[in-house]
Amino acid sequence: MQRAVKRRPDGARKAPGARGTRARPGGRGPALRSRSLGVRDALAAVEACYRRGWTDGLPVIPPTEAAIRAMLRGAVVAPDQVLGQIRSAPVTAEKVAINAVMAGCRPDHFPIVLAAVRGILDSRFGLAATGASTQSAMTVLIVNGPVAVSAGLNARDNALGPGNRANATIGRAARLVIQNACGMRPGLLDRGTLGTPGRYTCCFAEDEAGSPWTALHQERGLASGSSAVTVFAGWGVHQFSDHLSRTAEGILGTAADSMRALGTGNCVGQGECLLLLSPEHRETIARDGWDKQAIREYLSAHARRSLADLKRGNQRPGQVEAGDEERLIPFVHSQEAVLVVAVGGMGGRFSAWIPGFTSYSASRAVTVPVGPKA
Amino acid sequence: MVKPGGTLRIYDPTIPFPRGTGGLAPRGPIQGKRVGLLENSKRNSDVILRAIGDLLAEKAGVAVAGLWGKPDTLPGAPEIVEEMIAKCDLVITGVGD
Repeated sequence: MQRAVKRRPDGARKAPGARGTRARPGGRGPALRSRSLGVRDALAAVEACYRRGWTDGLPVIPPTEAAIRAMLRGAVVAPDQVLGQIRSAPVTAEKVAINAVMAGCRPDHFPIVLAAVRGILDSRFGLAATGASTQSAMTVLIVNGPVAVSAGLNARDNALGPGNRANATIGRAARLVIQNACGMRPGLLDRGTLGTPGRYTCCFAEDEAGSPWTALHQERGLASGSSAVTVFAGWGVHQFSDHLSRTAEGILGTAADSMRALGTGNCVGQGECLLLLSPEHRETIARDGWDKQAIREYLSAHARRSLADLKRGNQRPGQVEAGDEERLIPFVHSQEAVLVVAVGGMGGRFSAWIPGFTSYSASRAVTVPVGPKA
Repeated sequence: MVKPGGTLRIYDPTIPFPRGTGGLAPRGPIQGKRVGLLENSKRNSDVILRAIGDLLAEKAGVAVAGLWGKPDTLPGAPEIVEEMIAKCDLVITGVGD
């Protein structure tokens, strides 16, 4: 049936009641398929997003058609391109673009966001667990390759902190996709006992230029010169200080001691962990001839604790029995489950590690190339 | 729904839950029915489910067809689901901790 078409205030034409499936005038490509609503102005749009539960508690940029299309052009992607499934429903580039606009991303950030979302929707990442669990895992995005530089991502001072648009908004876009497109809203499917600040945003680049070691994405099978995002579900950031050690073993001994604490995600479930090494620690470790593989071997061997300790600490049930003192429980699944990333600034001998989601079978890091083949 | 009015149009970032993909099985007396128990491998989930099975057998006259397991955060394997469909009239699942 022919439907009446009326001119909308923004000059575009739309059939009343339609869901935007008509071809757009002016060669702008297929119409957006998401529902839309009219509001008075940008401030009213922000309030409308709040009322609908579409924000993370901070104000969002209004997702207008122009902004969404600019975002899609940033990755040269059609709005109906499917990135993965959630609850048997397709997650399209359009939905991701809407959330990326709301997060404050620039269009040139969008290829990174798309790759991150592909990783999040990969079954190995286990979003149904990591996004919903009482564990309150955050989704950490580690960006490698030339795109990290062109997007303006920070890998040095305050890389995990505020102050940089790309870090803040790309990580936030991934979070808003998880919350909005994937339905993991706090109080509903997101059942986090405590939540974590890292759920607002957690994205940074590896400092490849300042690293003596092979970049994370290359270790995980991608070519030198390529760009990629690695998504990792982790608990909070455990920062540690070591200003006195002048050997690799000294620094990594401090790291391993922190990593075998009772009650962490790795104590509970022996999954992955993410080690973030700052430049001064890297310099000392590399000077002793250790590469990332040597670091992994050391940590997987030393981040262990006796079963007796775990029982005394009420991390395992039962009484201490003969042999429990000698039985060492590894806190990581395997050497490969230790991810090592060069990041951070000069001026303090601090590094950090992030416990992985407790179950290796439920979640593991996924690395996705950035670009047309992503 | 597209709402009329306003000078600025903003787009919905959410994906609605699919509807109509499931439904309730027919309800009726459970006496004599075969009950399956599906635990999620969390601590004590098997204990509580076995207790529920025992109670149902004692008080409602069901037959417990067995206890199956699945990883804590993942769906049950297809072969487990198929086996339970074949051997059970109804299934009780739950979590531990």
